[in-house]
Amino acid sequence: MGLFSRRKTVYVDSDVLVVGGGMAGCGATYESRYWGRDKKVVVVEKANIERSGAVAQGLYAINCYMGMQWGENQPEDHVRYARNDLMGLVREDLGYDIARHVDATVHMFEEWGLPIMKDPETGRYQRDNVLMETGWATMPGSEDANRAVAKACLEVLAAKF
Amino acid sequence: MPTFVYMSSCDGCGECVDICPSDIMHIDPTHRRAYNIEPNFCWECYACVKACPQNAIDVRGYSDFAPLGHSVRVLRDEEKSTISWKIRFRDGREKNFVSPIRTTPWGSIKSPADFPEPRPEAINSQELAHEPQGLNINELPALTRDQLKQGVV
Amino acid sequence: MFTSNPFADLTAFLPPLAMQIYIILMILAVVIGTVSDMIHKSSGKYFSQRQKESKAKATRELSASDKASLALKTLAVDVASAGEFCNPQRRISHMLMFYGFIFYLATTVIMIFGYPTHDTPVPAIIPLLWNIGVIMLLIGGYWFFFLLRVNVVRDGQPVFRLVLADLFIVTLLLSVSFAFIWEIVQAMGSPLATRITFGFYILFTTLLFATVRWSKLAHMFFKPMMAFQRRLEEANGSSDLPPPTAHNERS
Repeated sequence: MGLFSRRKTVYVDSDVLVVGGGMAGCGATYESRYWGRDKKVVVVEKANIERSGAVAQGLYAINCYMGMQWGENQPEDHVRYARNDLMGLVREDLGYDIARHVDATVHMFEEWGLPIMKDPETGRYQRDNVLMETGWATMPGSEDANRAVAKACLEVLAAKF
Repeated sequence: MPTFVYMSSCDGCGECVDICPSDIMHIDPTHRRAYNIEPNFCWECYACVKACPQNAIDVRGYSDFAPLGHSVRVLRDEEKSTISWKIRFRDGREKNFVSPIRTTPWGSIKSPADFPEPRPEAINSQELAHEPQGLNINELPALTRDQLKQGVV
Repeated sequence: MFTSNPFADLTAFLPPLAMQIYIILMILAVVIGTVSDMIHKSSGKYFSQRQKESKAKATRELSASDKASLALKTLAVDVASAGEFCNPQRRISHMLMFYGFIFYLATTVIMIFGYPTHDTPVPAIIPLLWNIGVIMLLIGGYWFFFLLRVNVVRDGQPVFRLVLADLFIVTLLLSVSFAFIWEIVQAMGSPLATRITFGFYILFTTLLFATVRWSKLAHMFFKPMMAFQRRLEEANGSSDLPPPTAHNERS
């Protein structure tokens, strides 16, 4: 900050501007770099990107993981679960779209270092049958889930404000 | 209850000011130490509690679920990549928990640019990054228009 | 200039007794300010409450020699090498100010009480240390004021927006800056300029020590006690904080 000014205006050019650096923003940044290798990506986040958005404190369950690789659930099962939970007030096509992409995201989280509890015998993700009582929730030990995603996002960025 | 700072332990380093997602940790003008300027907006996300190098910030649980006389303190050790919790009840019982923060070394995350470029036509497909291989199945599942019209998926 | 007693030149218009009484008054002002600050904040009451609670929760008995070694550790790590600071720049700047202040104060007292006039010439090392102390204070202090203050660096406030917390550093810097200016002006020989700059020096020094009740000066007494208490709690098992963990080998 300068001697006499309170706020400064900065002008930035970018190809992709991401407003907000939470889970969604960091994910969008990652996708932008994957698909646009030479694009300039700028993220604007009002707080600290490492603890931003709804997942600031970490997460204790990923409720949407399908387990398609092990034949555990299909996207249709998730649509049914969500429709049941929300008493029919769902956009089934959007729910299907979210559900079919989730597995790849969770696999990436694990590659980025998120600890997820696994069944020692089968090697599959353990599901929480006690707390959430739905049998859907996988159990990450993830006080740092936000930071893991933020670090992945930071790999991408030319600048962050 | 929202976060509060033990002024005698705080050394005014500003880590909590930096990390707060709600921008409510600021520096007190009388003592130049940290304090929570708007407890009503505090999410109790514990970001500041974990970030403080002096462990000078604490949160008291709401009295409808946290028993009186309790204490919940956390220690996040980034070098050792562990996070530990110590919970005390007023009858003297103690519970200790230790969890890993991550399973891979810090700084080991690959940029998406380090992966091979996707096929040029893939950007117009419905696949996102690393799909379908990242799903560990052969093909991204798809709906046809008629499937939904049938009502029950 | 740097090896002769600057206070001796003042004896032309100021008796040494006046300077000595002034120092005693300043020491009294610090004591009164600290005690009244403690009474106002009830810090004595809360600290002794904390000590009692810690003793009640203790799981390990600590012997006198255990406590003595903790005290020594506190002195060596937290006090002498400013170990509480994680930021290396803040740590170095604090140590510059800390040792600079000690050299400056000690040599001032030695010169005014031990070698007050030109009839009792002071060994050159003393004024040399006085100047070294002043220069260390000025470097550490201005560095801190312009570049390291957390409300400027992390909270984004303008440098010259002064708040009550700045009372200590501002009076300290003004006092010591005028000490240095006065010494130089005095050596250059102008009696009027000498008296004016000396007047400012005394004004800001008085402000520095008289405002202890409202400034952060007394932290030099509170912080070491708190650091010792924290070490004690870790050692006797009463600390609420989790113990240090093993390393997570996978990362």
